[in-house]
Amino acid sequence: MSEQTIFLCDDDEGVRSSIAFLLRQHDLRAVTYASGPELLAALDASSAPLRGIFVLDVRMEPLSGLQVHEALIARGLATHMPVLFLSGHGDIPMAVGAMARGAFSFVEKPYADDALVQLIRRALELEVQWHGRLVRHDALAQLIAGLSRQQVRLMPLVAAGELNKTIAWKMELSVRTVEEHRRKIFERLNVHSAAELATLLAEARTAGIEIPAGTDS
Amino acid sequence: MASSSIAPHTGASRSAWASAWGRYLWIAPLLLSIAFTAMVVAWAQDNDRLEREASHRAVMADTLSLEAQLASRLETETVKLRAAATRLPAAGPDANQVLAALPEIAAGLDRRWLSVIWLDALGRIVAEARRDQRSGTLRLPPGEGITLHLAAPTSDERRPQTGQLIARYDPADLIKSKDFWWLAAQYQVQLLSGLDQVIVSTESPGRVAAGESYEVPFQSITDARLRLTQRVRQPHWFTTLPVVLMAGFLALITVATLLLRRQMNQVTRAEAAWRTEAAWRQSLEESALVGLRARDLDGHLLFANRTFCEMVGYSLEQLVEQGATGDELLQTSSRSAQSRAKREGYETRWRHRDGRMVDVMVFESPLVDGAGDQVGWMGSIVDVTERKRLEELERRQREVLANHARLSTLGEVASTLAHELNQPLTSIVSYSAGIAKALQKRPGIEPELLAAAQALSRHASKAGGIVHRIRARLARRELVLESCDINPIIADAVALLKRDLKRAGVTVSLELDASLPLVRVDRIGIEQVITNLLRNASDAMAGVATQRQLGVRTLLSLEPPPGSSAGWVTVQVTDSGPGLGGRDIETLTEPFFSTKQEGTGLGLAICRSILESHGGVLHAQDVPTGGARFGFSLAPENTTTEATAP
Repeated sequence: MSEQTIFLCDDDEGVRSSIAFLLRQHDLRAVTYASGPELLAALDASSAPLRGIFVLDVRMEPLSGLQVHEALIARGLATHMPVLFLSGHGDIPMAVGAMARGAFSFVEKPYADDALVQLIRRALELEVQWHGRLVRHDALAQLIAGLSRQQVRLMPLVAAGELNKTIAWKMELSVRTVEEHRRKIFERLNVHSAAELATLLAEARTAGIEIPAGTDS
Repeated sequence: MASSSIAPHTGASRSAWASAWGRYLWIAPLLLSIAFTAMVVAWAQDNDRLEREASHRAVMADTLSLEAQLASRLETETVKLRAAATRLPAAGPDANQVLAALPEIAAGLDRRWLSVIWLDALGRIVAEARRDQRSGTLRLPPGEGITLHLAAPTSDERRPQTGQLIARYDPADLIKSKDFWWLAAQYQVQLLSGLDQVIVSTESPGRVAAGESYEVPFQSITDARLRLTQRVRQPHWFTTLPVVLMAGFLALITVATLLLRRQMNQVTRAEAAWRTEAAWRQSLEESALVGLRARDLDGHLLFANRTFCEMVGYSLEQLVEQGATGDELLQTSSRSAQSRAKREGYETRWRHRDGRMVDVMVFESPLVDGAGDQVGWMGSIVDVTERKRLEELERRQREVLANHARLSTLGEVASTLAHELNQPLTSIVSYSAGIAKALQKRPGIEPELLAAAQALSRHASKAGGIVHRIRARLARRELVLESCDINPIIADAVALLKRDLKRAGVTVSLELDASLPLVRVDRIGIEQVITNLLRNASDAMAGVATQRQLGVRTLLSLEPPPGSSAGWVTVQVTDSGPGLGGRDIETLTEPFFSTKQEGTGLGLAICRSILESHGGVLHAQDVPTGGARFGFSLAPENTTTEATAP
C-alpha cells in the first residue's frame, strides 16, 4: 500500500493543503496540484507506472473536474485508478454524471469528519484490486501470447467443452495432435479443466485481450 | 338561435306573398263595381224587354178595342141610315126639303153626317141634304181629307131596290171623337188605305210618333187598316236613369280606383323600402360581433341580436320569456340609470347558460322611440373574456417569472455563500480531523486537546450542514426539462416585456432562425435568462440619447464553445448601449457585481448558473458598431442526450 499515491487536485489552496495534512496524519501519501493542467502535465512527465487514486474538485478553472476526468479516461488511467470527486454546492448533478462515466464516488464539501478518509481508503482498496487484476491480465496476455497460433485457435473449442475427436474433425487434425495441444494449453495457462479455461478466457476477453472466436474455420 | 333566425324568414315569405296579393288589391273595388254595374245593366235590359212586351200588348189590345168600337159605331150609323132609308117618302119635287125634314136624317146630320144623298134606282141624285144647310148647327170647317160614306138601300117590300141613301162622313171626326180622348192622348191613331195612304190621322202631319205601333184591318171600310202608334216612344234601356247613374258611378269608381292604385303603389314602395331597411338592419344586427340588446325602462328585454344570444347561451325567445336574464340585468339597469347619458361602458360578469362566467363590457345609451321619448336602453356588449383571460395569463406568467427570479436571486445568494463558506469549512474540517488523528497517534498528550480538535471538526461540519440546509431550502427549483423550440420562448419573453421596452423607447427587432434544432431545456429558466438579458440590454441603453435598438437573433453557431460538431443553438441579444467597457464574462457574472445603482449584481450570475445547469454557455462581447452582445449557447437536444448517456 505504501506505493499508492493520492493525486489531489483542487484550486482552493486551503482545501488542498488541509486535505493533504489530514491524509498525512492517516499515513497516506498525497500529492497536490492546483489545477487540472498541472496534474496532467505531472502525470505525463512521470515514466514509472502510476499507482493510487485521483481526488478531483468538480469546480475548477480552467479545466473542470469533469474535463480532467475525461483526460484521465483518454490516457487510460481511469481504468485502474479510481477517481473520487469533491463536489461543492450545486455540483452534485455533475458529480453524478461523472459517476455514470466511471468515477468511483463523490464527497460533498464540507464532509463530516472522516467521511473523506473512509472513502479514500475504500478507493485505495479498490485500486489494489484493480491493480491486481491488471497485473493478472498482463500475465494472462503474456501467457496467451506464448501459445502457438494453432493452440490459440484451438483454445476456445476446448473451453467450450468439445471432445478431442470433434475438435480434431473440425480443425482437420489428428486426435493425437489435439490431445497434445490440450495438454500444453492446460500446462501453460496453469488450469486443470476446460471449465477453468473457459473462466480464464472470459476474463481475458473482458480485459481486452484478443482471442479468436472458437467457432470459425 | 335557430328560431330567432327562422321567424323573420317565414315573416318575409308571408309578406312577399301578401305584397304580391296587395299589388293587385287596388283593382278589386273596380272589378266589383263593374260586376255590379253589369248586373244592373242586365236587369235594366230585362226590364226594358218586359216593358216593351207589355206596351206592345197594350197597343195591340187598344188597337183591337178601338177597331171594335169604331166598327160598332159605324154599324150603328149604318143601321140609322137604313132606318131612314126605309122611311123615305116617295120622290117629290121638293124632295130636298123632305129629305132634310126627315128626323132621322136631321139627327144624323147633327151627329156626324156631312151630307146625305138620295139616289134613285138609276143612280140619279134625287135629293141632297147637307149639314151646312141646316141652321143652328155649328159650321164646321170642311174636312180636308178624304170623306167616307155609308150607303143604305132605299128598298121596301113593295119596291125592291128603288134607290140608295148615301151618307157622307168625315173619318177624322170618327177618330177624333171625344169618346177616345184617352187613346188619342196615348196614341197616334191612323186610318190607312190599302195603299198605305194615311186617310186620317189624329196627329197633324209632320209630327211623327215614334213609339210602338200596331195595325189591324178595319173591316167596316174595305181595305182600310187601323194603326195605333204610341205617341211617346219608350226610351232605350241604356238611356234609363239607373243605367246612366250606374255609368256615372262606374266612372267615379274608376277614378277612385286609379287614385287608390297610386296610393297603394306609394304604400307598396314605402313598404318595400321599409322591408329592405329592416332586412339590412337585421343582417347588420346578426352579423355584428358586438352583442346588442334593447330593454325597456323596467329592464325587460325587448330585443337581442344573435351575438348577444350566443354570449349568454339562451335563445331570444328564452330571454324574452324569462324577462331578461334576471338579477344581473336588474343590477345593470340600476347602474345604467346612474350612468345616464354616459357613453363609457362598465364591466360586469354574466353567467352563461352552461355555467361559465362571461366577462363583458357593456355600453348603454337611451333607446328613443319615434316621438323622441326614452322607452328603454340600448346596449352593446363586448365579450372581453378572452382579453381578460390573456391579461390574467400574462399577469400570472409575469408573477411566475418574478417569483422565479426572486427565488433564483435568493438561491444564487445562498449558493454563492455556500460556495464561499464551504471551502474554508472544508479546510477547517480537514485540519481539525488531521489534528485529531495526529493527537490520537500520540497517546498521553493532553486528551483535552484531542477532544477540542474533534469538537472543532464536528462544529465545522455542523456549520457546513447549516449552509447546506439553507442552500437546499433556497435551491433553485428542479429543472423541468422538455424538448422546446427556442424561438417561441424568445417571442414570449419579448412579448412579456413589450410594454416595458416600449416605455423605455427601445425598438426590438427579432431575427429568428426557424430551422433550429430543438433544445432540451427548462422553459421557465431559459425564459428567465432571456428576460434578464433583455432587461439588461434595455437598462444599458437608458443613458443613450440616440436610437435604442435591441436586436434578438437566434442561429446555429459553431463558434462560442468549441467541441460540438452539431453546432450550438445560440441566442444573441444585441444592444446599442455603451458596451462592456473592457469587462469579460467572468467579471460580469461575478456575484454582486453590478453596473446598476439598484442592481443586486446577481442577474448574470443567475443566468450563468441556469445555463450551466443546462450544459450551456453564457457569453458576452462588444459589437464593433457600438453596444454589447450578450448571448448563450445550448447544445441541440440529440447531442445532449448523447452526452449524458452512459
